Amino acid sequence: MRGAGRLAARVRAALLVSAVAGCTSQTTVAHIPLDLVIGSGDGQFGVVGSQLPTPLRVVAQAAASGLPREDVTVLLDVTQGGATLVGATTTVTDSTGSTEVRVRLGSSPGPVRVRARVADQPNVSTEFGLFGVLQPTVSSIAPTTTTAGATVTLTGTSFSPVPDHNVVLFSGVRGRVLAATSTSLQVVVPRCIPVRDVEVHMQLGVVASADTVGLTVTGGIVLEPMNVGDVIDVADDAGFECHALPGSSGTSYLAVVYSVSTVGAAQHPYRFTALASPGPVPSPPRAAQPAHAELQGPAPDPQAIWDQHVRDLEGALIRERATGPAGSIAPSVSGPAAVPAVGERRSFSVFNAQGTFDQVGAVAQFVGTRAAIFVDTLAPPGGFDIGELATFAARFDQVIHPQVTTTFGAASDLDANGRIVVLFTPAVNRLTPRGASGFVGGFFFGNDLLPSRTGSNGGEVFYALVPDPTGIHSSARSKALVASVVPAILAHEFQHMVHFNERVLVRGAPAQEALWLSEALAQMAEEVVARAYQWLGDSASDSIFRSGTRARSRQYLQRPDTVSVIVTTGQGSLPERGGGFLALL
Amino acid sequence: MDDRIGGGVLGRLTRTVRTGVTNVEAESGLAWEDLVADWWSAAYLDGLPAGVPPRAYPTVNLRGFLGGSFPLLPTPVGSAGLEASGALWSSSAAYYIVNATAGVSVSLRLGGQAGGPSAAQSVLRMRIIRVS
Repeated sequence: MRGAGRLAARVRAALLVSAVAGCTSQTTVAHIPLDLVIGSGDGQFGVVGSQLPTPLRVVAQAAASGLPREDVTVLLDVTQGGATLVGATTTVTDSTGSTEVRVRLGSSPGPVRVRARVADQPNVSTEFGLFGVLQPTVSSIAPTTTTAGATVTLTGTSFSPVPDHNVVLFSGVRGRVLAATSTSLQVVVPRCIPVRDVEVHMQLGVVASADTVGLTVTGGIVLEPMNVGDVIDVADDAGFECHALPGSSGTSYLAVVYSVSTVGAAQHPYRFTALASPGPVPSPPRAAQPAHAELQGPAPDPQAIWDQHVRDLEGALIRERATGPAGSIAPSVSGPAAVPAVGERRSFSVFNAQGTFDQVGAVAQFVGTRAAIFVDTLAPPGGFDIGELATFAARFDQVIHPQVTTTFGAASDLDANGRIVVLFTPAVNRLTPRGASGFVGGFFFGNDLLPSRTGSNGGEVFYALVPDPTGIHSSARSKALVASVVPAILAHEFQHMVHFNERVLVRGAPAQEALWLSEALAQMAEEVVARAYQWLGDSASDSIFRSGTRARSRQYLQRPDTVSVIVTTGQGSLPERGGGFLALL
Repeated sequence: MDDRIGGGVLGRLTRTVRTGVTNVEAESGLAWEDLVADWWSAAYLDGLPAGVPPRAYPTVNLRGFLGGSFPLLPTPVGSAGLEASGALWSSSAAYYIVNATAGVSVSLRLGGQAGGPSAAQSVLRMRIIRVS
């Protein structure tokens, strides 16, 4: 198991343990109304007796927030036609709120319907429409020479009498079927077909005829001249739309193919065709990326995984808080505390990967106007000196705090001391398995702003890793490395703190913000601070605060086709974070 | 979105109980479909002559921000054409670039699985932009 995978497993366990350990009173979790939506697999055709190529995927979402819900039991059954479900018919949704089932069609052609229901909310259901068909054959086309826009007759067997069920492709471009019988189709040659020979395929869904026939197109194409910057938007689920663009030296066109589905964890097959003239028939479709079953998300990242699970755990806390016996959503105040004094010793509870809390002793090393810097007494030697800690505090006091609060909102002050505690502790280093690619640099945990919770520090705290040049607590991290990442972490985690206050404590939100948007906003805090330094003419600081967002953005742009902007597939990755950031930028 | 919408949108996204895409649509005043289509366009076109807001960042210099060689490299379509099949995650995008040859037209079409129709819930779309 990879290092990041081990961390994910540990954090999942942590989530479960903490959900129990964190309970301080007996509460009844409210019945959360759900929606069940189709993720993918609807509308498929398959040969009778075969297994459909794409599984049927449904996603359970909270009706109020639209956020995916894990551990929802879903019942599946066939309500029409001959088919069997392959595998369990009672399934449980995963961390993306989704579950899927495969279908084997029966021996008779015809429509098939498969229903999915939420087990404990039987009125919440959705239904897939499928079709069992015989494999069609194509024997001839007439005429064999014609023009774009003309009508041709295709002859064969096992066509559908429903015209739109028949997909006739002219070298990948779909023609509209005007009339259909089981043996004959009247089809219009698309107007975008250039002068050339094309191969004509017939298929029902993905069930293609074994044979093709040839057609020579001698004219009739309608070209669509465009000026530089002109845009054509194609929104045609049936796939009839096709645009013929003229070619000239130096002309280039960008085609962006995308899905705007907001249903998480779903994949959507597509085929992009670019048919040139004159020229040979394009080679058979090549995979633009790995096939459906092989498609892998970007490599998981320890920080992204940890962020995801801390936010998940906060979500559980928020739901419990919103539905608790007191229904209390008003800010909880832990009572005034004196402003920390340099040299003051204090004990903190630091959430760990085992789902419990490390008890950390720390000493206040520097106290600014906004930041109080504590350092774990067990931090390895070779850490930050007072001057370096003062520099962190100065960044926070003078730029990060004012920029983040001005842009996003107010931080709470539960302990009424006017300070945000920044705790440098090797407990953060220990969150990263040795040898992992990437590392956890720091975090904020909303539990600290809920003083009645087990493990809460009852005030504004966030946590950062310490230099560990000899690798006592995890892989070695030099002081220079830690110093380069901590400033951006301060901005990032402070935004999470502000967000928790504004959303949960002030407004009593019943659910956590979607992870992708929560992380995008926190990254925008890094950018907001970078802009402030840029305005001040401090290019070195500007670069420090942008290095993370820049790297993540570059990773996203290298393969945007493999990254959903809105959902974390699996364990979380840096390209996902980069995509969310660029969308908000 | 911040560069395009401005007006304190980051704070409005934070100071709310709305969630995810619903939050973004409410605070931007734009449909998700339109917002991301323009953003994906801007992600490539920013800094190019064809990149005009909203299909470019109004003030952010994306290529300058990213530094180095530009990481987004669309799949090239050669003079013989191309058929490419794949699967997109919800709210993700694939890029193709057609470098035209004088006197040779190119016809572009988007289909669903195996070239057939796409499921409505896929909300598959294509945007074509003349770049040069």
